[in-house]
Amino acid sequence: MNLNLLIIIPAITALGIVFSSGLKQVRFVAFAGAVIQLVLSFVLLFLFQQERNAGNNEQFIFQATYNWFPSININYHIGVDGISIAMILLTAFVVLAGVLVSWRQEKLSKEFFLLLTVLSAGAYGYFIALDLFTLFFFLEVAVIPKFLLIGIWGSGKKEYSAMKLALMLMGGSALVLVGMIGVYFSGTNSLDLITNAQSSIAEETQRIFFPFLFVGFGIFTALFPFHTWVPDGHSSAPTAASMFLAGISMKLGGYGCLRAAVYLMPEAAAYYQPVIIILSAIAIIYGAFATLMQTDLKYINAYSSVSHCGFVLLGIGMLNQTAINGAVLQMVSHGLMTALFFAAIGMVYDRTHTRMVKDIGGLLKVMPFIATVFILAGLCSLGLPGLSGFVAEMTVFMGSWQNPETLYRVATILACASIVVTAVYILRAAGKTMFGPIVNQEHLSFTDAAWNERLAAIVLLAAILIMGIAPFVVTDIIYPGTEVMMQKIIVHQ
Amino acid sequence: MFRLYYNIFWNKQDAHLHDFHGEGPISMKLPLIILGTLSIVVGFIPFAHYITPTGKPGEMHLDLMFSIAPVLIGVVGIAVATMFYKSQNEKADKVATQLNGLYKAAYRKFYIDEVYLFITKKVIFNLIGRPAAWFDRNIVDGFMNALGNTTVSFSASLKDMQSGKVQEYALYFIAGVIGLSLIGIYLWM
Amino acid sequence: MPTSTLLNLVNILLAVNFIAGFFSNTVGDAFGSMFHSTQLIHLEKNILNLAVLVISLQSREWLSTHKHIHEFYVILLASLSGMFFMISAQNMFMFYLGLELSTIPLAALANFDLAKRKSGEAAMKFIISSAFSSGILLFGISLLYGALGTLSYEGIAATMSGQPLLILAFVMILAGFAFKMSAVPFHLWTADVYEGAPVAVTAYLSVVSKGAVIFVFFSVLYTAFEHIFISWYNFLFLISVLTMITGNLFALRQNNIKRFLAFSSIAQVGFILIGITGNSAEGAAATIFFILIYLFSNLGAFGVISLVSAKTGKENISDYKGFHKTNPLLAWILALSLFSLAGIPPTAGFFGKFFLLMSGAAQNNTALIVIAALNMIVSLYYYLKVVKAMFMDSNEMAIPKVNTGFQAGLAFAICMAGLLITGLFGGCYEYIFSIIHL
Repeated sequence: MNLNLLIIIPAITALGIVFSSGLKQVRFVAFAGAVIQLVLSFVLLFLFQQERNAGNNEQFIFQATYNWFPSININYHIGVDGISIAMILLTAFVVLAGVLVSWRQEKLSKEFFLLLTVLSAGAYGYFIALDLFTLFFFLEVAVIPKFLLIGIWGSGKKEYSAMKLALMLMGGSALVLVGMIGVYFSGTNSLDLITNAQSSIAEETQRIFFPFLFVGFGIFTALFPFHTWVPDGHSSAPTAASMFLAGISMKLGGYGCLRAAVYLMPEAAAYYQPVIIILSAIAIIYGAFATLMQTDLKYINAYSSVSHCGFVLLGIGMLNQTAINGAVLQMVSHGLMTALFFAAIGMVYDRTHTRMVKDIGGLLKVMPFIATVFILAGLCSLGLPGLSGFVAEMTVFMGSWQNPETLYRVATILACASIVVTAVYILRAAGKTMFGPIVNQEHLSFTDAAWNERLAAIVLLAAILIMGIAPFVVTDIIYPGTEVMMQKIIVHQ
Repeated sequence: MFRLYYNIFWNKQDAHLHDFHGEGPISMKLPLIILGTLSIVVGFIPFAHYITPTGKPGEMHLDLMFSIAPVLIGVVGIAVATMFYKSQNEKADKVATQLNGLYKAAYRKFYIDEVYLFITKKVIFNLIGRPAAWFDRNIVDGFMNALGNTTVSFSASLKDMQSGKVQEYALYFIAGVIGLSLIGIYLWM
Repeated sequence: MPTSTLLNLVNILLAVNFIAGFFSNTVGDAFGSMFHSTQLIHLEKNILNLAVLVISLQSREWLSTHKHIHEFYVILLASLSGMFFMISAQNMFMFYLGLELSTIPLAALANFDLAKRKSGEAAMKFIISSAFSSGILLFGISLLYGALGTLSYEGIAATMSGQPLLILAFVMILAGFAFKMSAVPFHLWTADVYEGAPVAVTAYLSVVSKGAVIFVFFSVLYTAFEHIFISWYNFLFLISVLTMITGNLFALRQNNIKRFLAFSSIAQVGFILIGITGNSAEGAAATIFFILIYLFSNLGAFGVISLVSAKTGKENISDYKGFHKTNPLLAWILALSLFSLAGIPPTAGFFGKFFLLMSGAAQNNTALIVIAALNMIVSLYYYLKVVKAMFMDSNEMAIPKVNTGFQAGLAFAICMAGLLITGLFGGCYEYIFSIIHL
């Protein structure tokens, strides 16, 4: 299969949006593009499994290389392994749901959907990139749409949040840039992921440039203490942008940490392992406690994202296969769950025009569908068995526990303990807003979800349930990918 | 648990009798039987073989001490309950008055709810959650904002360098030439 | 001849000149090896031709009401030919002549809005500062001649060494270049002149004039001064760091959009200097490539500003609040140009900056790359501030709908196409790289 299709379809969608007029045409084009992309992702999954079953054991399948700048050996190189495919599927799900919840985006609808599409194209390109330059290109493509989406269509102190997000992510990119240049001049004179993985970088060089790459990508995935763009950015963003931000954009960071930083520089990863573990454990537990005090639903979910993304970094930092599997699972699970949660919050906000927990109550009676979605997203977040969150977090814990040293044990126990805190804030928020007495009599007149909102929620819920009930569907895809990467990581420890 | 069991099924009804309908229809009993049976067997199914993070079946150890201890404690509990509550007698009350405090504590579920509320509301929310949120908003975020604000205010303080006077520009120019030459000749030679 | 016919004719001729530039590829020497031409030099000159064409197309609106169109073009083209001599020079003397021929007409151009006092002030500052810097440059050249007895690049390269006197001469020559490129601390004239001069002239100063000097600068460094690489590497390292930081810090607080672009272009020069420090074919290619991209991005931005300034006379960033509501297309053009200046993909600026840093990094100076990367964050802030004003702030008094004529539209089309194609299509960089022979 030609992987370029994954970028061409969003590009065509974007062109279609430019040349269509009026909300109806625009959203139809965007919707069609998202559906085609989802179908394509499944086709990709199918063909990928077929290749694997046919005995194709290459690390990356469907590779394609174009000499972009041959004189300095920079190529456009793409290909997929199981990890990429899981992320691509996640992106396709979230994009479709995001387009659906923005169905009534009246204000500047053309630009809105255009930016959403560009953002998604950046994510797709990122997940198939096998050359650091290609990877970096797509990483940055996705930054500016976020700035505009928050700044133009957001709410609250949107300009401040948008600027903060853009600058902090740019800071991340700048660090990644330095790290990349370090990789290039480490001896291979190439930015190709596979080439660099095959030749090992000198440990001295690794120690200098690993922090640049890891922290740079880490900023995207809310590495403590560079997570402060997350609460502001997510809470100011319009619903679809919040979903994209938390569901897709934060995953770019985790993926980069794994694919570029840890994979290319395993010795340095082992060297800095304690730092990574401490920072991610802090993010997990501290994010959870900070969430306790939030009164705004979006802030609750944003802070809890800090905590949940800490699991991703914790898993990666443990440097063993189970934990890394867990990290990838957590990326997918958290992406789906948080997108669903933001969608539900958005639906509530569209009706009540408030996101403060104290102003909402008893919505289950008024809008049972939305309330159920909200509660399910919450349960997934607190790791209820049967939903995806449990599978992912459990796997991270199992992997983490394999590390017998005290520091790692303590970090794991703290991370486990955070689940209790998660349960407290989720159940409090859900209990207050969905059960409990109706706070505002006006809320009695609200209608339940419209078809587009239902469809968006069902798409995401379906993915969460499949992953929760039959985790092997996802682990089977991811597993071979992480196994190949682990071979390098373990050898070099 | 077993106090409940004995009180309901073994003791004489107190004052008023319900209309008793036997054990209920099969539709109620069957699920109970299935659930009951399954709950006995479920522990013996090696789940670790089916749900694994790696795709390979995990290994499962059956730690004997770990399994027997809870069962033993359970059996002891049942025995005590049998002694106290199987037939209506004074034993329970007697023991209750003898161990007044303990019984009261047990009666109030060892104050678990109160302790729980105290720990969550007073300790965790106030002593951990609030400082964490405050720390995040003011220290961590404040630091990030301070980085930006310092840059901006530093740029404000530099503004005077650009005075608009050509003679000053010439001065900077010549200072630049002299400075660079001095550095180049004396430092980097 | 009526004004509009004259302007159309001039623009057609400039376009013919640009297209003809692709077909002239004579390689050889003239004037006793003082004048030299290669494929690369043709390309460099043609980049400047393109810039002049675009500026001319964009300034049609402004010129159509002006009385002295003839003079404008005569002076402009005189300056351009000075630059051509400068680029082709193989001798310090020829270089100096070309430089003066390109500079003195510019002072007249800066004062082209005769009625505006600020224009006059700008021209005055420009001519005095230029004279000063030319004096220092000439001093440096004469010291060099006194010590080495030759002014040809080859001759200098053969006998150049790190003696204190020669270093002093080199610093003086460097200062002359740095003045024209507006590198810190020789940049102070830039903001005042950019602000006072008419927009078209500012655009010319910031793209053509700067570009020409940079083309000469790196080739002089790579040929005549190749033996004192260690010295000039250190100088360039220092100057580029100062230039990036100063340009960025000053750009942060500007409200006049021309002044703002002046400082942002100073910061850009800092990045270009990093590329030049690479001292390699990659460095040269990255520099030329970046100038080409800088042409598209800067002229895209100046085009919008020029239109708005000609129609409404507004030149402040705060005037641009709500610009997207009234002029969505122009707002997007300006935004894309700024993104390119900031180095955001998929615009070409991303590729340009990346290659500059890559070639600079070949010298293994991690500190320089880290400083540059941090500066990219700061620069993003002020570019986004303009974008924020246009897209996010509401304004009752927003700039009304501005009509883009055909020719300005064509100029925008050239800039936007250039912005998107030069980077994504790798052939552009590869072509430049292939014709560089160091």
